[in-house]
Amino acid sequence: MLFLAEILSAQQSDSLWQLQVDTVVVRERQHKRTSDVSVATRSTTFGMDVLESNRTRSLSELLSENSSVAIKSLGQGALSTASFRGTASSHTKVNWNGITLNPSMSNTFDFSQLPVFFTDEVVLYHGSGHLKEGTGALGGSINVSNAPNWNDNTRLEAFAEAGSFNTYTGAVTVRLLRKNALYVTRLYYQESENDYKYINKVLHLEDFRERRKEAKYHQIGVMQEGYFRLKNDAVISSSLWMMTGKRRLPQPIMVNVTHHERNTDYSLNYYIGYDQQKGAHQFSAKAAYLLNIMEHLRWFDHEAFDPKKNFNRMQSIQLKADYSYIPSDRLETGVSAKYTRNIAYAHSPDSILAEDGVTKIRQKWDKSRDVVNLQGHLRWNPLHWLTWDGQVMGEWNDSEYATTYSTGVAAEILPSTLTLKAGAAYNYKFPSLNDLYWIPGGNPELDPEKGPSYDVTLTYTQKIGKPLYLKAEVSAYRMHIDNWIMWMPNGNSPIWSPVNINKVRSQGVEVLFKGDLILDRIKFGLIANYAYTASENRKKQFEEDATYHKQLPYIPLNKANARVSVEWKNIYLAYQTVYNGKRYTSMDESYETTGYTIHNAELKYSWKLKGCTLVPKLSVNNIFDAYYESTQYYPMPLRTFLVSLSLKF
Amino acid sequence: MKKFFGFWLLMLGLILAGCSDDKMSLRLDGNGVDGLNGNTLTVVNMDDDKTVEIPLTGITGEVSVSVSYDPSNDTPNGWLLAEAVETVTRATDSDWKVILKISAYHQENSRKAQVAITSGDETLILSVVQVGIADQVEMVVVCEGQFGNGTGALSTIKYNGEGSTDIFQNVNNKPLGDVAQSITYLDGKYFVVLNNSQQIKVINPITFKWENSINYEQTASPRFIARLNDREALVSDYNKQLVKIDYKEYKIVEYIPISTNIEKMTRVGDNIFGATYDAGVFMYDANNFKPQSPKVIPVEGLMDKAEMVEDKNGNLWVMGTTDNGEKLKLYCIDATSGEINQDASFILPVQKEGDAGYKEGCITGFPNSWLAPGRMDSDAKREKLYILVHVWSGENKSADAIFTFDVGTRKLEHNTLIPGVQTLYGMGVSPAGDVYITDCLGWSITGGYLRRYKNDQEVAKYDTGLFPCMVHFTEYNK
Repeated sequence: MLFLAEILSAQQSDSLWQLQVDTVVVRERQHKRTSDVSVATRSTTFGMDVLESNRTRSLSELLSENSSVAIKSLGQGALSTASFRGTASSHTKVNWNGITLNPSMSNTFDFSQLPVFFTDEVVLYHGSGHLKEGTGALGGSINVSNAPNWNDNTRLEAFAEAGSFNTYTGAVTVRLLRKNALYVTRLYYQESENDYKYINKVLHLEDFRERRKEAKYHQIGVMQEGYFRLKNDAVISSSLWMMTGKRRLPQPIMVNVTHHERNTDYSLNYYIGYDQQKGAHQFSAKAAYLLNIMEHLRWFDHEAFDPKKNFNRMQSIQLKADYSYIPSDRLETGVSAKYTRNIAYAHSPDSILAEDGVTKIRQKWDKSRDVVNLQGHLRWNPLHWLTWDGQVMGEWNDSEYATTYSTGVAAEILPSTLTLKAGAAYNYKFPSLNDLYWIPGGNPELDPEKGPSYDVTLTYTQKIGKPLYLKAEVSAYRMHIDNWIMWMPNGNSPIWSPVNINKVRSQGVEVLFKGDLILDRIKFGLIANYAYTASENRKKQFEEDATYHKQLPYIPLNKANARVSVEWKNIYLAYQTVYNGKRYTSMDESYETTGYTIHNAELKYSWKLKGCTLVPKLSVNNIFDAYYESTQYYPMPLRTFLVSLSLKF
Repeated sequence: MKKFFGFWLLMLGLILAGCSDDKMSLRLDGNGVDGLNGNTLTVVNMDDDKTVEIPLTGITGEVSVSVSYDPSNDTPNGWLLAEAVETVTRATDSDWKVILKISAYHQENSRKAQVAITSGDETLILSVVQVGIADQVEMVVVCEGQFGNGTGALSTIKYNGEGSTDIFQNVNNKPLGDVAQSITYLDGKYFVVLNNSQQIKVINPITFKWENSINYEQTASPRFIARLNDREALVSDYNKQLVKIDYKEYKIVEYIPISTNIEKMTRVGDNIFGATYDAGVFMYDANNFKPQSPKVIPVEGLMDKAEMVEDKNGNLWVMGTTDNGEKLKLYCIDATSGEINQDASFILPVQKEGDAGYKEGCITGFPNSWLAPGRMDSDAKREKLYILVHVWSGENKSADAIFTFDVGTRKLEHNTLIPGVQTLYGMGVSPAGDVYITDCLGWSITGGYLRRYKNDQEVAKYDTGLFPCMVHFTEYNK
């Protein structure tokens, strides 16, 4: 097999189980190009067992407990954001089947609104080397995808789960497989009172036990996929994904709650794609339409103020085409083009003070943005053990233009055992529409955030005999981000505005260890992640600036997680430990939230009956009842029990 | 099987060991003892001898006490006398108390002693700190903190210059709360208003120990406190209401809707004054409080943070504008009648470019910060008003400055420029007449500074918490 493929396999979170166990689903993607990211980019793909274990949880929880990505969450079901390698949450790009999902208004994706159930594959690209979908991935990108599985004869999967705090989940997947067509329908429902107990140590003089107030939520989603194989080996794919939900927004626990908030979210994502591979040529095209609507309602006890309602609507049209030419095992080249039109509308009845101190202005704005990306790439194996690649992308973002690039080399130091990759990239992130146009305070004069990044990754993979497979990976990186955008009170005005204010340097190390051991009837698995992230401001705003060389808020210096699993006959047991180090909550490190460790476990049994499989499962999250906060003063659930039953025909 | 039983025996042992820790042990019952925090008693008694009684619990036998003095004390031993007294019968084990007699102390440095309290085979050490002048807190700076982040703080600066940026957190190991607005010394306690926490914290002024809270149960945006009578006080609010609190029982008495928002409040004589941003100054009769019908004093151009300052004659001063905002004016209000004394009021000579008086040092308007207009204070004798204005300092330079206005001679004088301030927010004048400015450092979500000025220069600078907004001088607690 050509070396190119070996490099690829090194990038995947390959599991011996997935290679050897017949029950593992072999998933097929319409096309898997080698050029989505630089050859030097570190990627993480979650194993099927991890995805299965998190079916009823959000992507936020999956990432928090199984990756080096830093998650900042206001609680289960509430706003949850992700950041890579010490960058901001707005620097994390989220793609669904190659379609960018980041909301154009804030650019920050809420991972609590993406149930893992709707994904078949989740791939993380660490660092800024992912240029294919446009600028913006300064920290990294999270790529979720659905893929047709033509070899799976399952017709129906039904799933029900009940858990602590009146949390109920139901999900159904129906598959209809024809000779050259596959239809997949997914339905999902989750609701939770989410009223977990914890000890409030900050609001009153004496510590007291209370239930989480106003964190109730429900979520409904449906996804309809259709895949059609044409005679010329082309595949047409189509997917419609709709989600809606209501959630109360809990307040921080150092507040006497006398006002209330609720979000109602609607989203509709649709794409249609065409993929074809013929000889050395690969071609794909996609068209997508995304609609996101958010209504936010705030009301007050005793009608002290009038209720306030905010309405945001975002639409996005995306058209893209990729072409790759692979004339030999040692060369690949290609181009891609993408056009995106983002349209945002915001309406809020909030009053603001104008210069005369009295005037009230009704806020309403409606803006759009056109973005065109052109990208070219080349990958070359000059020697059988050496691969080089380069990508260049130009982006026209309304009237602005930026050129980004990435380049990398990968060298197989020891055949099939030791690989060294190194790369450099330069990326941009254009201001969000909120940054530019929000009323009040939007700043149309903002410059894009930008900067270089450098990566080096050493990967060791070893198969020892038949039963043991080991993988160890160490990455080191360094990146600069200039023109970092922050919202702050602007000079003599009481209105907050975004400004290009900081320069950030982030550097760190990421370590992955993975081991799989298969004995006669028992299988062991271990996967562990560790991340050291030093992300600091490297610009003094003024002489006395105490934020100079201080760690950015909510970026833990140390984060680690480990998951051990054992499978014996039909019994599967997994145990997981997650450690999140101390995080500062202010720019000058004067305030912090303490680190925490939580433990989770799950036990399931696969009961194979005639024509179907029943899988009862028991999960216990936060076994030792640890009090912890992902965002300061927003407690997370203590010990949680979940019981589920899934049925597969 | 052996391992199984071994495991459970071990667990049982651990449980029993844990239970044994719960047995009663000798300890101090600190409830209601002023200045006691844990096993440390902090006292400030500069003029008179003081007696402190501390109940004991967990008594297992006769109680005895002994005092040992810190050898580094500057004063001779014997200033602290301690005895253990069994008050009534031994019906319960809390009938013992330790009585400390502490002589008055008026020296620079603090002095310390330890009292060893023994009962049965247990000994408890009580540390006693008698605070000297240099170790006393001179100023408390209220720091708002960032909205929603719970980073409100009280920063303290002692007479010796030492400081703490968040003394509440340091003492209580809990956050002060969200958006601290003001501090008021009332009935021997500090009442700190926390806007977004919708709470008023009651804090010991010596130890900064959190002693009680007043929690809002209705939507509010509380700001400042003024005493109404011997039991009740009014809290201003940005929710078009006044809130009456019982500062003895630490509870809300009444939410009172009013027609507009009041920020700063102060009491002069029998009247309470509240500054609104759109309707002048409201005056309420404290002895006949009628919230719906205040006397409205028509002060023009009053800003959100406008201060109201009482002078030595019992008049109330506030800075606004006149001539449709063209000029700055110090309004003098008769605090008894609520009438503006136009003769005593003073229009500041505001100059514009091109005016004959437009020369170096001239006043050009309000200070260069949207939160600072109307900031003013007075010295301890209330003879001079210190006002914050913007000046032209020559060669296209402008600066903020402090001017003084002598209410007796009606003389307006330049006091000091306040250079180096990143983001001007609050100001205060010490009893000695020193000018202090709070600096939010460009709202940069970092700490702030309290800066002292004299002769157009910064002469001292102290670290504070985030967004310092108000300075309280402890001298005024007396």
